Amino acid sequence: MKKSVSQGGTHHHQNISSQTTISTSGYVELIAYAVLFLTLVTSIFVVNIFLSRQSNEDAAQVYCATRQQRAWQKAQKNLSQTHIAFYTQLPIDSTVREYAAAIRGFDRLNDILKVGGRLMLDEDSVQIAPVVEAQALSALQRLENLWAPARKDLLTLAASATVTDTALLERSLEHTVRRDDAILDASENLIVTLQRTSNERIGQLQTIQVVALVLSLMVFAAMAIRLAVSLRRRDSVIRRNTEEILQQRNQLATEKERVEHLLDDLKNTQSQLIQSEKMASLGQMVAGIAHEVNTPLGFVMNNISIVERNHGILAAALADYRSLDNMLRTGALESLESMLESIAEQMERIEEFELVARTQSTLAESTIGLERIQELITNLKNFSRLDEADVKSVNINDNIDSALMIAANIVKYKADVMKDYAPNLVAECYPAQLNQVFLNLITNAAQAIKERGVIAIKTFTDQSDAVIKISDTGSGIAPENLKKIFEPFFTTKPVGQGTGLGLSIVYKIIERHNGNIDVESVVGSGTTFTIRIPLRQPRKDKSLISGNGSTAIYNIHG
Amino acid sequence: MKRLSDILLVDDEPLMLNSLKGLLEFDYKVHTATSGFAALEVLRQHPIKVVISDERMPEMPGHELLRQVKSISPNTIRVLLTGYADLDSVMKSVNSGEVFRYLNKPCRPDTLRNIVSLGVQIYDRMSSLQKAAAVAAPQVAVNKNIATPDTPKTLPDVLFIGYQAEEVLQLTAKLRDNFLISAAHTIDDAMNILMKKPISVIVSELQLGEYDGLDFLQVVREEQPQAVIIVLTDTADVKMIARAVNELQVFKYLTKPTSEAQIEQVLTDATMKSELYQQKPEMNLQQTAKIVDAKSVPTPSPSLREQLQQAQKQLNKS
Repeated sequence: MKKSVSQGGTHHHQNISSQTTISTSGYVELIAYAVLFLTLVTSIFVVNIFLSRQSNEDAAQVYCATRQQRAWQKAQKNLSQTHIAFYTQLPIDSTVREYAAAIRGFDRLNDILKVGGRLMLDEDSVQIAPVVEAQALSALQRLENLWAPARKDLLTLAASATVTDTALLERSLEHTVRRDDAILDASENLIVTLQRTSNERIGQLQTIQVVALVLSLMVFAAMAIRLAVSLRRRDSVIRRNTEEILQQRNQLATEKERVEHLLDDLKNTQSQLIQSEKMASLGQMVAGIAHEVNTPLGFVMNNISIVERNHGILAAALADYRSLDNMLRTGALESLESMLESIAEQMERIEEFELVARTQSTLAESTIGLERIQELITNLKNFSRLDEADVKSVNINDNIDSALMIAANIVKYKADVMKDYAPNLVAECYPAQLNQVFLNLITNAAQAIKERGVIAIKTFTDQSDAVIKISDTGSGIAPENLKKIFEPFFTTKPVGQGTGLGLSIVYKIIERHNGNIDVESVVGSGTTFTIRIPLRQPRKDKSLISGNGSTAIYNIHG
Repeated sequence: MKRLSDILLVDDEPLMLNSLKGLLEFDYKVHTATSGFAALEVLRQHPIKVVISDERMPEMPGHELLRQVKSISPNTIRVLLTGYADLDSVMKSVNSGEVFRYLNKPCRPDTLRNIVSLGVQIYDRMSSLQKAAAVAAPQVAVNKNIATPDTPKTLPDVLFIGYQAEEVLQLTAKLRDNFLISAAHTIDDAMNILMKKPISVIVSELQLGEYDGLDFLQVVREEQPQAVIIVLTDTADVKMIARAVNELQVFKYLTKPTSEAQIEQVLTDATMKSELYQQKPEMNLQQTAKIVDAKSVPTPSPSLREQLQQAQKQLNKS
């Protein structure tokens, strides 16, 4: 049983450790997924931000290009008006100024588109990024190509406050007129290109955004699945553990039941053993008594048979004597001679076997036998003390003698008993139980003697104690057994011959007398038990209700 | 006046001795002794026909006394009288003292008188037949001396009843050289074997199925008086032993487990006993008791006897 429990234990342990690895790996995985997911979501945001910024930039560039186009148109218009006014002698100052502002604005916008810069939009200043996209750049380059040859003239013209150089004016006008459509077309083209590249970029970025979103969804799904799997696994582990725990609990319950059962069995066995110890000592007692009674009973029975027979002979002689007397009185003497012969014959027998005296002695012997039986019965009564109080002041010596008598059939053929009694050793005790102690010790002593030996019993008082020493010349007790002999169930007798309870009961009884029992033994030369009990039992507060069943354990005769 | 027979009573209780003596002294010359040693002394000085001894006595127990009586005076009929006897001493008294009867105390005076009377008669018959044989003895002895070396030695028949075949095999592995062993598991098997040939020694269990082993063995004893019966069983019980002695006069009562050596010794002794019974049937106490007093030996139950006769018939037919 123990083995299986320990196996269960290791199994359980393995489970726990695997569970921890599952959970830690699960956490790591979870964190990885979470990081991945967050990264993706973050990247979507970043891309989004980038996208909107880009989109802003593109819009700004498109705006910038549009302003540039308008600036050109304005410059071209103002220049033509200036040209017309110049030749019609109309005031030209305002148109020239407008032209100058427009053409400078155009140039600045062109610069901004090339290298970036700030542009005032209403009150806000907008940062314009330089054009970097290849197609837009080439469109810008085309515009630049158209602009670059005219730039110097047109800017120079714009720099002069008034028109002084007609050639320059003419040249400028020619530039603008000649290039007007081309520049407008190039500007248009730039705007469209910028628009398109912006659209393309937006499309790309949207694709990236969608892919990232899909990816993040996939990661999320994977994480969810993974989580579900690990949760389910943990569930199954938990379920298995729960099952195991339940199983172990059941096992424990059955184990407990079994232990309880065993305990019950043990109790039963113990009470059976105590019962069999009782029966064994009772049987021993009965056998002892039977043997002791048997002998006197036997010879008394024989004697009665003898007396009966003798009585017959004597009665016959008496009858013959009567007839003879009658014969002599009545004078009927015919058969006198034969009668005399018969009487003589009977008398001879009566005298030969001394029938009269012998009958008397037979009766006397029978009386002895009956007295012996009576004595045995009295002793038996003394021994059991069924009709006496539990606690009583008694003569310990008498108790020992009655125990000796009960054990006589065992002791008689094994040992001579040497008594050394302190006269009138009266002590307060439970006499029936003390008798049991003496019987047990005397029987043990006799059984320890192999062939023939001596049992010495000595009683004396020592201060306020009565001391009883019971020694034998038997085989002795081995030192390793000596300290165990008072333990319950310790026995050196073969199985079935001793319950091992005798001396443990003795010990309990002496303990109950507030006394103690010691043993000394030398292997091969004998054993001495020394019992010491107080002459007077300490007074106990006697309760009116007895709730103590302890006597039942060892009170064999009670 | 008729010379009274000498009998010897042994008990350590003088009052018991007095009463026994009182019962018997009109009819016998009663000697008494209060110890085994005193008894042996009396035995050496007087022709004791019956000795009745108590078992429990200090110094020398009854079974030991009877064992010595047997060797000093084999014809003396030995009776053990005991009150509270332990199994061990009963076994010893049966197996080493070969007692004629085992009596329980208290014993009824009538029973005692009958046993003593029977014992004396058996003793007388044995002695007279031995005397007669002694006259013819020299011739027999010569014949025997010549016959023995020439005739091939026939092995004595031994029958085991009521054991498992393996058990017998195990027990008798070493005995085959000296004995002719057969085994019967049931009573029927045993009867078949017993019908066919005379058996010297029977070793039997007492638990024989539906039949009481002792009853069955009584039937066997009737049929084959020369057979020496040994009980080998695992139930040792004082009452059973007493019955085995009193009703069957078993030679030995053994308890399982036994050893090969013990079995061999017992079988050898039993074979000698059986030969003795064949040569001197008067030595067979149970048979002699039956001759001198038919009532003294219980008759087997009719059903068993019938069964035996049936078996005999069948055998004759075939």
